[in-house]
Amino acid sequence: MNEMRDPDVVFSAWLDEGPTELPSSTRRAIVTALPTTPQARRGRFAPGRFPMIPLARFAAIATVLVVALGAAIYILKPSASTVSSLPTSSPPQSTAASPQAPSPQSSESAALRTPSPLQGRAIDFPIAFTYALPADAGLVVDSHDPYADSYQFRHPSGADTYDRGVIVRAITGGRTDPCSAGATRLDLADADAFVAYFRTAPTVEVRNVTDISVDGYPAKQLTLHFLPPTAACPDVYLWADGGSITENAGRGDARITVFDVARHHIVVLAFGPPSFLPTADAFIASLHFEVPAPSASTP
Amino acid sequence: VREGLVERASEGDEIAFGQLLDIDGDRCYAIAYRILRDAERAQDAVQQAFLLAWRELPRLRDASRFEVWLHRLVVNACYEEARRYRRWSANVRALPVDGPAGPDETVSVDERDALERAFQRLSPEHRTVVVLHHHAGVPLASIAEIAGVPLGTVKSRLHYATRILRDALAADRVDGRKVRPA
Repeated sequence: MNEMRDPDVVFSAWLDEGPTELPSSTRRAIVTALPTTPQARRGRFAPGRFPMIPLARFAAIATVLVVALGAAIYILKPSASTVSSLPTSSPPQSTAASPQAPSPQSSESAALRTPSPLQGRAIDFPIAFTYALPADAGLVVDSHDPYADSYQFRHPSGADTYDRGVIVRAITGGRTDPCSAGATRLDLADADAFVAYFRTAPTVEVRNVTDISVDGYPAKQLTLHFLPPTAACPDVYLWADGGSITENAGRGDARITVFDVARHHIVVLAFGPPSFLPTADAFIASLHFEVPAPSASTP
Repeated sequence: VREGLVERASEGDEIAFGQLLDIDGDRCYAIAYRILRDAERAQDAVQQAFLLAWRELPRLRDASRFEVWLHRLVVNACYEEARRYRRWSANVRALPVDGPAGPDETVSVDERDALERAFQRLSPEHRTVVVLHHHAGVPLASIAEIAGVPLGTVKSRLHYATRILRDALAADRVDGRKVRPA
């Protein structure tokens, strides 16, 4: 009898088995969490975002035009700065990015105004940036990036596995309990606050804290050394956004660079053998965030 | 109606967002469950996706794209859950199927077992394409949009996954003809 049936029919019937209604407990949990989950700021160029005061609207539009004109001049200038090696039309990294060329998702990503070949990949990253992948490093853009708020550059070591890499994430804060995946968000003011927060994690040692600069922004760079997990702290969930930090490099040392750009916390996680760190540093040194310089944006 | 709710929710209207949850929650859960084959993890993924949607909704520029955007968040949350599952719970077996859409008589016990084992061997990316296409009936072009990959990748993933599942069924039918111990 079995041989007479279409396998696709059998398969579809099997796939349709199972629950189809979201449990009410989950529904309640979502609704209950809304009041304590802050919403992101609206995109500055989104329709309906301008205040209703005509003068303010005019000023906002004028500002937008000036910024756009400035950006256009900057981008079209033939001898740009260090990121000029990343022309927007055909960037050198396009070989890494082309397998995952900008998807139809671009209507959201257009808000990012990202001229880098990363456009269309992360949908929630708040700040456009460009980068350069160090030559011969073997880093590629992770085509299986599961996060909406990060860009992952990894070195493939096998099918669906990576032995080293650099991850650029936008972080909204820490967790009130860094041992719990369900802990609520903890506001952190700046890079110094992040360092102090890291020291509160029970199974984490913070080592080699240094002050550096990333694209002109003051940053803290440090190594997180993970102690063996305990019953009270089986894993480490440092970020309010996403899963455990050990997902990427197990409990091997992780090099963290944290800094603020335009009031957004940016965290760069480098993982891999010690010999990889200079490559990670070269990548970090190439980052350029496409926002006005801090001095210009400070009131 | 949905676009109006999206607009209101993006301005902080929790009631409107709750109505969006009523509209889309079941479908998202059904998709997540079938990708993850685990009820609790599917609930976690849906919860993460909806809370991320709430947080990021003000940045969604086109309310008419909410459904695709939400599905993308759900799929991403499933990937994250699957990766966590792979790392920490490699030996946990999927929960048995239950709920209103119970076992279909079209599928024998052996076939169900064979499909389950074959499906578990697929990557989350392959499962996603299969579930969105065969269960949710999403067009391939939209799957590409949701999964954030080119259409060709969707097609190749679907072809590969379908072959694996067909092979599993075929092997089960061969085994089924063998004499088994009582």
